[in-house]
Amino acid sequence: MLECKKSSAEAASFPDLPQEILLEILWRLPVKSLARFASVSKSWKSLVSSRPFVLAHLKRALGRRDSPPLLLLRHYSLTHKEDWNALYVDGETLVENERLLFPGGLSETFYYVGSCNGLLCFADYIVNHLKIVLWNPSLRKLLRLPIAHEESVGSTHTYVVGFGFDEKCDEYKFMRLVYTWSKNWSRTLPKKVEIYELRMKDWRSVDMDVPYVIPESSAQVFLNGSIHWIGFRILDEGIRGARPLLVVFDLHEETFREMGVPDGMLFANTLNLSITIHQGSLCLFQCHPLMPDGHQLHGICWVWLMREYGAAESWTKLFAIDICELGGIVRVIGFRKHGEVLLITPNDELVSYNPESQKISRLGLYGVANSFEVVNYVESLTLLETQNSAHATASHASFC
Amino acid sequence: MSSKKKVITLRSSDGEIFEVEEAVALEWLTIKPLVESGCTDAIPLPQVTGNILAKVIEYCKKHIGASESEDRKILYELESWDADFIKVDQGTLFDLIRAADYLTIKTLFEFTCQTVADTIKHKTIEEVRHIFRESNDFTPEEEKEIRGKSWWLQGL
Repeated sequence: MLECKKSSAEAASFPDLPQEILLEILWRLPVKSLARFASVSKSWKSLVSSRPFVLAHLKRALGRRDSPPLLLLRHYSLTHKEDWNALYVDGETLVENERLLFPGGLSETFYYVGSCNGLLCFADYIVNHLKIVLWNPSLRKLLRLPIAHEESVGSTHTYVVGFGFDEKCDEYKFMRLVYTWSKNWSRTLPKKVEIYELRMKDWRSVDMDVPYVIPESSAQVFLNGSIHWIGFRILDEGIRGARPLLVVFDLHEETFREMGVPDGMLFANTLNLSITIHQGSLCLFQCHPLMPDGHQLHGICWVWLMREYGAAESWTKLFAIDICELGGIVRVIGFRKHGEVLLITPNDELVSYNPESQKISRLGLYGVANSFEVVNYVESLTLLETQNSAHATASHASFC
Repeated sequence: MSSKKKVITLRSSDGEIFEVEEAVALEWLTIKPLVESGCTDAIPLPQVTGNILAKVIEYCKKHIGASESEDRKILYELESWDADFIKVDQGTLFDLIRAADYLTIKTLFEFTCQTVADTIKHKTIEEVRHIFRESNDFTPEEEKEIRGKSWWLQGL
């Protein structure tokens, strides 16, 4: 490379670039290019995998308005007879842009926990043995968390997993709660929260009485530094079911709090409620079963928005989705960028509902209703330095 | 220049004299205080050559007022003008980045940086090393390992 340095006719080269300018160029690059360019030189490698760079790149990706939004849609496809993860351009219609292969093992049946900053968290449990993985689809990387510890086999356990980003500490955090069930099906509430930080690479326990029940495999919503689930207080649990509320876990403070649901929802069954984000605010779907005690088919679904974060009195009924003439709604999945709602019809099809025209448009995607998840996609360099642990043993987190 | 608009005189590193409207010069944050102080002498710009300064002025004259326009037609025309403007060799492109950085012209700086990013994003690692004059300081083992980690990226 010596002759290169001496060459004067190198119009295509640009030596002595100040690092600030180099950074300005690099963080405009897509994640795929940056992951390749990590092997340009040692200084480039440490630059693009440094925490400030990863964070700056993410902030830029989150703030981008110049490219069409991408949705990451997961489902077990009835057409392809396999798990289907793909990116869709969320424009007038949904156009498949790129299929993504989830690098989990074949025997694993992960359920979706939640997403944050382009990273998706999944959990899988066999009896008394909870596996948690973090997937960065833009880097095709999967990180397996170490098992916190094995629960005793003398009783049954159910788990709640949460995932999000603690902005004040610049750290991704996972948390888990363990509910213990005795032989006569009485439930013991957790006396601690177990927390895993991505950088610390280890689990730690925070002792606290958790007075809430969050149903097993509940989907979470991460917003404003906190994880939100639909749950209830055990004291409120009665014959007619419990009165629902929003259980909120602040990832920085590591404390629980609660938020009320709309008044009209106080006696709703938690199974008929689901939580999502719309226009940066918490949003609840309240579905009404077509048949008494039937949770699988809903005639009408109300959409509520919490206009002021944390203020239960600000819940506002936005609109109702009523597609009874099409047989009803099996599940409401979430919002698209321009405000249409994705839902599943009784013939297992994903459709897009327009609240203004009250019309649906068919998307031609057929899948198992409970397998559908929609995630706002954003590129992230997190895990760039992590060895892909798709084939690693489950008991160790694999970092490089 | 017979207009009544106030004109600022600039001198490039190679002694060329340029005249720009005050409104254009006010967009250049580095010299803005000088312009506002009512300085009438030629402002020396020892880090920018005449040919680059001419390009910078051409860009800023075109963009003043137009970037904020909400008229789709104007924005579309501006976009295609930009595309022609930036058809320069890489040496000139990098000189424009340096000039925009030195003069603190946000729009030109962002535009030129984005252009470089768009140009290099599909280039091979070897091409990028050449463009930025980075030498490969990995051992063959290290390089094999790091490339192995991103095997799926190779064809992109």
